[in-house]
Formats: sequence, structure tokens, C-alpha cells
Amino acid sequence: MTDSIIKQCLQKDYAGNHLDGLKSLWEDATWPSSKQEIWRYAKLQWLNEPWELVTRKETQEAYNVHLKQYDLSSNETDLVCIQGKFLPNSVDEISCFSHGHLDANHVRWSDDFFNQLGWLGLSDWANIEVAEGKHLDQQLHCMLDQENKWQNIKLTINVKKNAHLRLRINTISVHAVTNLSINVQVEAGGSCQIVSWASPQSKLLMDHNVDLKDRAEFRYDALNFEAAWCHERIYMTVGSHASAYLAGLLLPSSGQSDHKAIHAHHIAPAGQSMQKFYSVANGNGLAAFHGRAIVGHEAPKTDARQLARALMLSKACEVYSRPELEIDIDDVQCQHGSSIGELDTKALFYLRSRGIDLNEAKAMLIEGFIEEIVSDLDQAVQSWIRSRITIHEIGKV
Amino acid sequence: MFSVSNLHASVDDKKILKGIEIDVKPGEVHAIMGPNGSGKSTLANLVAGKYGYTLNEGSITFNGQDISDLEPEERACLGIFLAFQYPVAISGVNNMVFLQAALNSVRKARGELPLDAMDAIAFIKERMKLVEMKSDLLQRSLNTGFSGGEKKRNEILQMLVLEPKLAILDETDSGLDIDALKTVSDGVNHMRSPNRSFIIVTHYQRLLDHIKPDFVHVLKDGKIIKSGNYELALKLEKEGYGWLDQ
Ligand SMILES: Nc1ncnc2c1ncn2[C@@H]1O[C@H](COP(=O)(O)OP(=O)(O)OP(=O)(O)O)[C@@H](O)[C@H]1O
Ligand SMILES: [Mg+2]
Repeated sequence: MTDSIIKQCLQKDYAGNHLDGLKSLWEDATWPSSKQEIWRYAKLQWLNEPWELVTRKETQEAYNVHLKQYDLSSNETDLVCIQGKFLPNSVDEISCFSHGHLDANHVRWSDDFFNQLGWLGLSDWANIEVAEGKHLDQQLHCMLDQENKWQNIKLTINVKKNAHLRLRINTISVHAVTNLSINVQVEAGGSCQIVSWASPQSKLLMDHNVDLKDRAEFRYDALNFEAAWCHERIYMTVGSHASAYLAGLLLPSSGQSDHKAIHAHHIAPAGQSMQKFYSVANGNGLAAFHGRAIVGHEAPKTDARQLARALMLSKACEVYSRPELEIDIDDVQCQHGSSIGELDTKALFYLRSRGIDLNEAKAMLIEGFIEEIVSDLDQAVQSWIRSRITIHEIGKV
Repeated sequence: MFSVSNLHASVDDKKILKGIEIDVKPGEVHAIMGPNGSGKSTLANLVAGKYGYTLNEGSITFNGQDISDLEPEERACLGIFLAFQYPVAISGVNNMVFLQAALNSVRKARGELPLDAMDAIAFIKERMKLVEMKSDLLQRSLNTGFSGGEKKRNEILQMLVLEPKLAILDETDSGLDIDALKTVSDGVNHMRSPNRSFIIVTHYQRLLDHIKPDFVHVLKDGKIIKSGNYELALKLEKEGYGWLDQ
């Protein structure tokens, strides 16, 4: 049932306001007041059944097995949000845990299970606060290993003045739906860098709010290309002399879809924003990018750019690309580019004329295209991300 | 070893080649000259297997085999190489990775074992010296941001690496400075052997000073209207193509 709901939502409104799509479909849900809370409280019928938590120990083992499977390493300071393995028929035993061996200076961790919501889903909250002038390197693993279940994770990130945060978020939610909402605030002179990756078969609904104060720096890499589907929205305000770099790789092949809706609002002078999203769609995969940069009259000397490029490898795939600029003022630099195309036949011929066979040549071109995003990534994740991209799978027709 | 006979080809119903005859024996160097738009590159591309042309009549034979239905990579693996007039730039594809992939594809076809990365690099670097190519070009994206001359050197480097049996050079000399022309020609001469043949498309006799051809053909309006030896190139250089019409 989840699948069909989500599918309808996606079809209804691929690039824009998915929230409204969801809202209209789950009419019997009790709607909370704030917009961000909507998804987390959505009422899902299939969860309306009793549960049992299999012991914590087993789940932790599962956690390590999972990490290993994806060649991820973990250490003591990681934030871990495990939504355990549940079996029906033991409603009394319900409890959930989240744990993190945390650096107390930086992180407050709390968890809340079911709350008054009973059958609505599993929820976790985490607050990451990086104190003034401090640096923090953090990993967050969000896990739910259960078919047709739903995890809600709300992350509040507060990077204080001149503080720096590097965060890797790994969502491992095999067959389950992860609803992740991140609220980021980067104060003056601070910087925050987030890399988001999700395991194969995961299903993601993400809704992020980013608030960048003066001279704040923000970088977000959306690398959820292995997910079954990913529906991601970012709303960002860019302060004076702040800079934001949002990049992503969308590689949907058959049965997969990946959507990005981004809203970069420049609200003060001399901010910079870049949205760079590359897609490769195959089979009946669907990639959609709807990027928007809004430059108000209060934001002269803004530099806002968008670059959306897409490769379509099959007849049945769908790619939507809509970079938009809304500019109320003259003294700004704005650029947007969008290209959608097939593999360049001249380039293919060139490679083949050197003896490289058709499939290999295609793979090289796809890899070259993707490399424009990958080679820009933080060194720490580059080679790992490369290992997650199986070009020959992507290029299979 | 290579022959084109009665070759007629068109693009979108526009006839471009109208009965080409060429016969190249092992070790020979043939030059093809001719006015702009006469069909020289079309012929070269057709031999290399580029799509988009309709072969209306005639045949292309290589070592006794009709190759006109083969895929481009199959032709390359048989030992046919075309140095392009306008090499394509492919961003994101590393030049070194490309050269290695090409080398190992061709080696495989020749029944040789693939070279591992270390050996391949050594092999390629050795040949780079012959064309005096700057080594940083190996680490860049294929032809991306290369100067005109650098692209042409890169073509010749590929030829040196792949060691084809038939090399077609389409205006490799244009865009090269005087010294580079000499270097590149030396690279080509280094490759000359009794069982390797060349077809050199050029507008200028200067290249032919360095690489002495056995035959010179004039291609005009899709046909070879005159064949001769090196003397013909000299005469064309002096008098142009006009006298051929009389
Ligand atoms: N794909 C194509 N579509 C349309 N016309 C083409 C195409 N390819 C070649 N032609 C035409 O065929 C003719 C021969 O072109 P070709 O490139 O073979 O000439 P060339 O002899 O190599 O000229 P140059 O000396 O300028 O390089 C030209 O008139 C050209 O415009
Ligand atoms: Mg030409």
C-alpha cells in the first residue's frame, strides 16, 4: 500500500510540492500544526497492527552486518538510529532504541518512540550542535530493516559561529520508508557539509530546511542514487556573503525514481548559491530536478547558478529538468543551464574507432559524465562513492 | 591489403562519393589531396565505420575481407586506424584510461594478453616521447581543452600505441606548427614498415616532404580524377587544382 500511495503522489506532482500530494491522499491523518511535522504523523494503515521488538542485541548485530555489506565503517562516536526488527503480536513489548556514543560537547540525543501515535511509525530525534569555533566530523546511520515499515527521523543541526561540521548520513532502510527531515542553521562564519547516501532498495522522503547566516558556508551532496525512490526537497535561505553548494547525482534505472525540488532564497547581499545536479536515466527510471533561485531586491551582488544535465539512455525513461531564476534586482550574477540528451554519437564513434566495444564505450561516456559530480566530492568519500556506482548496471539497456 | 572499389556513398540523398578506386599494397604510402568539400574526410570516415552514410555501391576490402558491414571497433581491431581531422573532446574520460582501454581492446583482438596499468603506462609514455607530447596531457580529459596541435599529437600518439596495419591521417598537419610537423612526421616515419600502409589526406605538400608518398591521388567532387607520384603534389602546390579540369 505504501508503494501505491507514494507512486500516486509522485505521479501527481513530480517536481513541485509533493507535500500537498501526500496531504490530499492521507486525508484521515491527524495533521499537526507545523509543515515539517506532516509526514512524520501521517497515518499509515499497514502499521495498524501489534508489534514485537526482537532483542536489542540482535538488532545491533544486524546493524554491523549492514554496515559491512555496504563497505561502511563505523566508530564509537557515530550517531546511530536503529529502528529495530519488529514482529507482530506482542504489543506490550514495544520499545525502540536509538543510541549514540556521543561526544557530549556537541551532541544532544534523544529518542522518542511512538509517542501518543501508537501505530504511526517509529520516530527519532537528534540534535547536533557544534559549539562556537569547534569542529565536528560525524556519521549518522539511519536504519530500518523491515519491509513496509516507516521510520521518521528529525535532525536539528546548529552550527555556531565559526564552527564546522562534516556530516555523513547513511540511510539503510531496506524496503522500508525513511522520512528524514533536517533543519540546518549555520551561524556567521560557520560551515556545514552534508553527504547523504542511501542503500539500495531504500525509499526516502526528505525535507530539509537550511538557514545560512552571514558568511556561512554550506555544502550538500545528494547521493541517494541507489535508493528505490528518493523524493527530496530543500528550502534554503542564503544570508549575506554566505555560500551554498548543492550537488547531486540521480541515476534512476528501471523502477527507480529520484526527485529534487530546491528552493534557494537569497535574502541578503552578496550571497552565492550553486545547484549542480546530474542525472542518468535508464529503463523506465525517472529523474526530476526542479531548482529555483530567488533573488529579492534586498540581495544585490548575489551570484546564483544552476546546472542541470541529464543523459537519457532508454526510450522509456523520463527526465524533467526545470531550473528557474526569479530575480527582482539588476545587480546580480545569475546563470542557469539545463541539458538533456542521449549519449553523444560522435564521442561514441571516436571511442569505438579505437577498438573499444560499444558497451565499454557507453560505460566510459556515462562514467565521464558522472565524474563531473564525483570528482568534486570531498576526498574522504570520493573513492567510496565510485565503488557504489556500477556503471555497467546503469548503462544496461 | 586494402582496396576501395567503385565506392559510391551519400548522406541524406546527397551523393558525396561517386566511384572511388584505391588500391593500397602493404608498406605503401598514398596521399590524397583535393579541394575542400571533395569527399576526403567522408572517405576516411566511411573506412573507419562511421554511421550516417549510405553506401550505394562498391566495396571496401581489407586483407581480403569486405569490411563495409563491420562495426567501427571491429575494424579498429583488424588494424584500421583513422587520425581524425577534428578529434572530439570527451570531458570526464581520462586520456590515460582511454588509451589503456583502447590498447587492451586491440591487444585482445590480436590475441595478446592485456597490459596491466603499470606496463601500459610505460608503453604509452615511451611513445609519447616520439611525438614530444607533454605528459600532463595524459592526466587530462580526452582532448578537452587541448590546443589544435595538441589534439593532433594525441591522434598520432594513439596511432603509435595501437600499431595499426593501415593508418589514415586526415589533415593531421593542419594546426601543427613547423617543428611539430617535423616531430609528428618523424613519429609516422618511425612506424613505416613493409607491412604497414598509410593513407595521408593533406592540403599541403610540406607534410609529404617529410613523409614521402609512393602515390598521390587527387580527389575532386567524389572521384579520383588524377593519380601520380610525389611530383604531382609539387605541381599541385604550385598550380592548384584548376589545370586538372582542362
Ligand atoms: N553528415 C553530413 N551531412 C551533410 N553533408 C555532409 C555530411 N558529411 C559530409 N557532407 C558534405 O560532403 C561533402 C564532402 O565533405 P568532406 O568532409 O568529406 O570534405 P573534405 O574533402 O574532407 O573537405 P576538407 O578539405 O574541407 O576537409 C561536403 O560538401 C560536406 O558538406
Ligand atoms: Mg576533411
